[in-house]
Amino acid sequence: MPVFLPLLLIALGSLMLLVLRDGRAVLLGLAAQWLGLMGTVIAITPPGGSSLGVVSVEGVTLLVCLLVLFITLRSLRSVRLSTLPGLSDERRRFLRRVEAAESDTGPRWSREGLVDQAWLWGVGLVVGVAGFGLARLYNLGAREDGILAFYWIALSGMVTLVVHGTRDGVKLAAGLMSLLNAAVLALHLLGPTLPGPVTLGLLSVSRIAVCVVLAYTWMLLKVTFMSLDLGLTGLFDGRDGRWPTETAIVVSGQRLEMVSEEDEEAEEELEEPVVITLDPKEVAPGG
Amino acid sequence: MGDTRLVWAIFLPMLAGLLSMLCWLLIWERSVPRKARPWLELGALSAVCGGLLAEGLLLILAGDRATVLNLHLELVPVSRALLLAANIALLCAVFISWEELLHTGALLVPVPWVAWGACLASTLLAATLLVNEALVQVLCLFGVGLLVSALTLLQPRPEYLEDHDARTVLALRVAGGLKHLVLSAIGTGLLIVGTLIVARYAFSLENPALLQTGLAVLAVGLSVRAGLMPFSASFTDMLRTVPGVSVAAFGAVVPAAIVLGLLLLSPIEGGNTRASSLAWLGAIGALLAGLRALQQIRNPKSEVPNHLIAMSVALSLGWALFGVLSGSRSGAVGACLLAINMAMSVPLLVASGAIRDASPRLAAVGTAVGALSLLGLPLLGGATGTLLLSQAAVNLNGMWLAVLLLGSLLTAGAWLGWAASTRDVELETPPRVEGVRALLSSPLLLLVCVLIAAQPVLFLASGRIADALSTWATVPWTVGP
Repeated sequence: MPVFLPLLLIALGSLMLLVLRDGRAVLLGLAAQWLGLMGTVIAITPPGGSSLGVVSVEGVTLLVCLLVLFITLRSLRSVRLSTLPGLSDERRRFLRRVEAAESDTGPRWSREGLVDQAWLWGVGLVVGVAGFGLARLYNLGAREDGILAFYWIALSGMVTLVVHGTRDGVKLAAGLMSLLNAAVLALHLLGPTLPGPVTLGLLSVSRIAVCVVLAYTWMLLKVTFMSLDLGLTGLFDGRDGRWPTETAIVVSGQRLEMVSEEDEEAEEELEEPVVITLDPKEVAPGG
Repeated sequence: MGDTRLVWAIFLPMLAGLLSMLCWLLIWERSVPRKARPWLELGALSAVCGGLLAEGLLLILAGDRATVLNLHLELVPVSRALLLAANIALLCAVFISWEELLHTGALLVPVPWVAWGACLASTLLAATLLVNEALVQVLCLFGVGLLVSALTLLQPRPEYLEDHDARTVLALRVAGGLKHLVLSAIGTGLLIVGTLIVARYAFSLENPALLQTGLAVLAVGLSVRAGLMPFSASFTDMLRTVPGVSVAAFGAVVPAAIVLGLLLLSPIEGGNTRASSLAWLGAIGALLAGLRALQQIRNPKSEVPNHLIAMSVALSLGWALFGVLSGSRSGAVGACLLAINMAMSVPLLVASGAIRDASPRLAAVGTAVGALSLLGLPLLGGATGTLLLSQAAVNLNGMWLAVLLLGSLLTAGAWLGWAASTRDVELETPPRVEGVRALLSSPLLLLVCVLIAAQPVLFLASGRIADALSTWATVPWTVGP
């Protein structure tokens, strides 16, 4: 089997991982990269050797990992913070307003400027070229096309972690999985013999466990730290005891603080909609 | 099949953990009478302790080789010594978690998880150090890392907390768990790739650069996985929020990572490489730990110096990794002795912090002994290991010894600064029972006393342990004296 198609999938997946910001798109990128990895394993298996067992294990791992991540992401998206139990009335009203503002303005990543997007495409390009260069210079005694796939997967995972790892929970998970997948591909490329069933099983179980732990962390980010888009900024700020104050909410550019119940009722009676100019990045407690 | 006792040594703690979990499930069952619950708690604790102690006994009695699941098991002296010490640390982790249960008088959800986690960690650590296949060893150690991260992240009732302080503690915990998970995964990936590159060298002996590259990746992977500075970002967060889990992580897993490094490097021909090109990682790590320890000066009056404990562990780790990477016999033996000492000192420091309210004087003695031991001062457990490592550093390059000692001096200075600042703080004397009854009323008081007494014993026994280890330490990797 030619390595061209798997390489194309890996390139596409890596680019999606690096450039896109929507959680579902990032996970799709991870899936494409993973499928490319499986294709590469089939392609590099020497004639006479059977890659069926390895690919089956990888397929099951891919399915379980992505199901865990996708289902968690989907469930968390539908959770409205203002409906969670244990909140004070004041906090509940505040969250309603933040959620309304978020739905009006769309997710944070969609509001980023052209320069930010261009920078990410530039990083993607550099990763691609760096992968080529490293595969030429340090092929570690493996097939050049195979090692190119390894470098692309490893570099995209590492750069995703470096660029977004401390800000975005979904990208952190995708980057980490990508790095572990690179280690799996290295096992097939550089290993003196085919990996044994215990090694394959441990690799599979550990990646599934990583996905479960990360999905649990997403839930904590959403429920405990009120992060609307599973961002990590609020968590790390909170670690240093810096919790954003609710006074940052600004309605019509004039009113501050959380509004009282009477104000809210009066507001609902208004015929003209109130223009909300708040930025969820600043007002969401979790960031 | 070989010696079945070796196989049992791996699986027995896991079975004990399952038994303990069964007891906890019964406790949670509402139909169980209230009177039976303390007995079930005792049963759960006994199962965990029994499992961990029985594993130690089996390791002492077991033969050298066995086979399970087509994997060859090999018990070398260094694995035996470290596993015994790690089991003591895990046992301490269970007791420290149990103390929380006794103090609150209520059933805390994390306690059974820590107890069960300690058993599973013991099984995985045994697999890490007994299985004779590098990739399986690395993955088993990753399993322990995952377990530690999961226990750190696990929260009884995930919900929003209005209280800022409580939310800050949760944030510390989640941040610590996430950092530990990420660094464990990156370290494991590097260890796998490094191991594969080194194995690849056997097929292309004409390319020595391949071996050097593989060793470099392996050394960096080991540093990241073990938590050498600057990769010890999670240490302080975890010590502040999950002391029981931290004892398991820094008292058992970090020492196991040091010994795994030795086991991975031991078959490599040290003469073909330049050890000094790798050993500096450990020395720089120790120096960075010393510099970071000085940060405690910004927060001098904290009751429990978690940051200092974390940096002292990182310092000791720096010394030990220097020994592992130095490619010398004295370095290898010294690293093993320091790893064993970490398994004794970390529980002592954490337990001393936990009894600060119950017995301030004993806590102060415990903290002093634990800190001095990690710094490698004479008459305590870490002294012999530090001396052997100093010898290895002098043989390699005197400059590295200066860097290592500077790291120790800075950490010692930070400890002195903290001690001086807390001397004037008035501690409230809690109403408590005096005498022996007070000692028996809390298992942690007893634990601290035992761990303090263990330090001079470890110092006296170091010579014998070093002799036993040095017979193994003549491996291809250790070309120097």
